[in-house]
Amino acid sequence: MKWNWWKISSIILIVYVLVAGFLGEVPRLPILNETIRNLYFHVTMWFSMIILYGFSLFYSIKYLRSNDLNDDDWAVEMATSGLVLGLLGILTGSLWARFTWGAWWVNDPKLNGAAIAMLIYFAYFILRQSFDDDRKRARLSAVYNIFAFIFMIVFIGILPRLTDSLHPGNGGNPAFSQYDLNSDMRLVFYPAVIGWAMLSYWIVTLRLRLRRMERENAWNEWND
Amino acid sequence: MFTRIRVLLAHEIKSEWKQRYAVFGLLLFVLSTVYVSYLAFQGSLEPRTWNALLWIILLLASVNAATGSFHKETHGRYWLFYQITDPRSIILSKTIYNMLLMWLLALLAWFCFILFLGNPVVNSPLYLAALLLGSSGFAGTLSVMSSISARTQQNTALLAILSIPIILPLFLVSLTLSNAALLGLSYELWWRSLLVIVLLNAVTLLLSYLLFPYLWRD
Repeated sequence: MKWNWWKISSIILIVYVLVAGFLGEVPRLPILNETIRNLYFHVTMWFSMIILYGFSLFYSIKYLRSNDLNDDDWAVEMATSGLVLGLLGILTGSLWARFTWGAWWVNDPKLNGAAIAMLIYFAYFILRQSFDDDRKRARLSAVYNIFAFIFMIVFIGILPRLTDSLHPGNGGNPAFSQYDLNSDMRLVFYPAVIGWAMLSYWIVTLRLRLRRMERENAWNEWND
Repeated sequence: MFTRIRVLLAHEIKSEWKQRYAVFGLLLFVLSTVYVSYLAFQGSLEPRTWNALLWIILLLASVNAATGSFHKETHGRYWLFYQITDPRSIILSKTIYNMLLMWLLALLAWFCFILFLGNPVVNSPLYLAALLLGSSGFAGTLSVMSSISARTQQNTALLAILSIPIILPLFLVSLTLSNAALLGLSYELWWRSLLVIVLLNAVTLLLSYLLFPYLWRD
């Protein structure tokens, strides 16, 4: 029980973010209007996604050094939760784009980066499905995961800086740091990042337990 | 290590020469896709579309070319290589071989485009550089991905799925650079793309050099 503090605090943080995010005071800006609140959801989900993918990378490297299938389980579950956060991030971003740019999707370097980041991780999961042997799957997909993470960072971090983008934070469009001089928004933003990350970590631990139980079950059935 | 790479490369080229039809098949693939585009577009091709088409054909031809690079080794030869050499020489020799092959494809694609669809390129040396750098990056990524997909059950389609998202950054930057060459833009507008291509090539090579030993052992 004493290790449950972070589960409770993740729920408290997310409830706080939902309440403060929808009801709190935000700067009044033209065009953005109330959609600025999306910063609390869309941007924070992407931050947490990158944190989770980062952990997935860490466990993939760890697997290559240790050959322990537990590390592979960690890597795949971290990537699964990261992918879910990424999908939610794309949905919230698309909704935001509809109300500020007038379209669900525009051809923009940052948005393309997001889409490709999704594709890379989908490819990772398809790769995992195409092996029979557990160890081979773990090793080869660990290598692919390292490629995936590095090229995702190239895609969403480096390429958009080469060209102008409509997305906030590029080409003179206002970003987060410019419109919250009173720092009120930061008080919701950072708890939101931590909240999503902790909640996803919780989901990861649950799915890991499920995975182990299934493995044990299969083992027992095999022995019966 | 260099001698080992040289020997492996020579072996690669020799064994490819024994099965010439594979290379000629690839060349024919480029030729026929360009001809199909010639028929489909009826000569009404803007420079940017011209360039995009060339790169798409090149990407598909490269994926096709790389499909063979680890699949054709038999189990026995795999075992022999495992005994007599180290994985890093193998991946480097495969990458160099694929690079040469993809350069050939790129030059042929450009040549066919000039033949059938005209040549709107203003800055030819830069365009050549974009083609060569872009296709070496393709070769680097595709060699590693092909060694991954060769180990799976359903291997040929998987190579495209695995490598195309990974190649896309390089693909887009190559497209930007070659567009600059096409339009004859000035130096300030393209040096960053050139730098990024070189960096992406370096990252790909470094990653495959570091990670290939894990793909190799069984």
